[in-house]
Amino acid sequence: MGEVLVITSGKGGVGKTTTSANIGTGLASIGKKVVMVDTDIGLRNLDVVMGLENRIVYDLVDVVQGNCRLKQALIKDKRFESLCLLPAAQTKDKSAITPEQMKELCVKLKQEFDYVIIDCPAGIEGGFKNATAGADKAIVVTTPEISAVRDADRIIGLLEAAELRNPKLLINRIRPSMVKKGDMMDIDDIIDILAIDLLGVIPEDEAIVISSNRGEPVALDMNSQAGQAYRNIARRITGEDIPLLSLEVDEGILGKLKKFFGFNE
Amino acid sequence: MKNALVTVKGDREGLHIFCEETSSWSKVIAEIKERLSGENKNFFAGASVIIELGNRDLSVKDVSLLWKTFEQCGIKIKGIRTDSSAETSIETKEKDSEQEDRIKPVHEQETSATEFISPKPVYILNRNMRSGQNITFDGNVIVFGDVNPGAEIIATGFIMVMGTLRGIAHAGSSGDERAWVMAYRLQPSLLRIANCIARAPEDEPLGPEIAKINENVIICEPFKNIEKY
Repeated sequence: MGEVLVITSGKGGVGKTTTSANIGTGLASIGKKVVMVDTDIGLRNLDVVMGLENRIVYDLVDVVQGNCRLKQALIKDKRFESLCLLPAAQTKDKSAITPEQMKELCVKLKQEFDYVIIDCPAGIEGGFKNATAGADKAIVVTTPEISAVRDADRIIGLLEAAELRNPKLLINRIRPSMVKKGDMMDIDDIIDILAIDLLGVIPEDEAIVISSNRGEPVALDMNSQAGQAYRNIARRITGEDIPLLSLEVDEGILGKLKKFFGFNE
Repeated sequence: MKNALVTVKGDREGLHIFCEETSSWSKVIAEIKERLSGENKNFFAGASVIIELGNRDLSVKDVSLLWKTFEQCGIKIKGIRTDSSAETSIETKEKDSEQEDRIKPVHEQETSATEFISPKPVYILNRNMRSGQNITFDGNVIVFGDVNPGAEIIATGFIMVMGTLRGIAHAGSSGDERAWVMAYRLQPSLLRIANCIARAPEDEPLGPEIAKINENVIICEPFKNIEKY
């Protein structure tokens, strides 16, 4: 029996879809059977980030409404045999499915896969309710901005009301250099407000933009720090105990020299 | 709006609910119920109202029905006023603080004084309050946790937060100026006590603080001993 994880945030643009794609890929790369479900009906993106948009024949709404079998709608990933995607419909809207139907679907998917990753749409209305209906656990994505943290707080409250206790926190797009200067919220500041367990921290990384545009999840990029962070998160989800990446600021040659000679700013 | 059964107006005394004089009482009650529990629920939260009956006479039964309706919605009746010359039998049923016929303005001071002496119920919350969550309670509120920005507590009594208060707090919401707000870290986005409004000071507090009214202004001071309050 697998586990259903919903990736949510409240605010848009904080990286839910990127996170879904990379956690899915990360889990598949360590040999887990994973299916990613895009519940952002009408604004589907996950297929684009995964580079699978040209393979969509049937979608989530077709499955739920019985226009096709579940197997027909699942798209196999190019890179991993054990990774599947269930895309959202592009021409319908969020009301095309109900929370009950989502619950049923999750039960079915759980029987065949180790992990079901649900990419939740932004907002707290119908789409959010659909996405969380069948979930066992939740991952809340936020960025170090006051607006994103405020929305994450609201979402955690709503998750608790929906009996999804102890959601995990993922902080995205952190810039260690800005944090060091005091221009950006610190990880501790965010945890202080949200008071939930930290699952991982993803640094701001240009490689993410490049890989999303190419349809290659950054988790497969061995040279990228963000990719490493996502791979670590995937392993933490399986229960491994992996320490957080140290997000040291690249000091440059001058900084290193200064350190060598014992100058401390 | 055509000849509404129930009209709500506010003035310095508080909210007045005017009931139409000729329609049947059960209709009026149904209308009131709908008003109080509908989308305007928050508008009435924690309010105390004066019922204006006009020329209507009510039996004991009618009044108790009215009373129950408001109680269910968590709203306090400050007084019932009628122009009817007939001796109404309201007092036989009602509790001491309620007055009936041709009321001289309701004695606000007296009622709130007795209220304060009588111990109020306490609402205890054992978790963090997050953005969008709110408590409206006729009594005192104690939170064992943080109150995050976007969360709101409205209480007719005091508010105590055993954590950081970053949201909105309104103590003594029915106009009780002796109410206070205490928090382990007092950093509310908005603080109200009775009819006074304040924002949190810019500098971060170093320890527990208490906010209360002093000469019509809300003041914050480090919290020393509970016995004073």
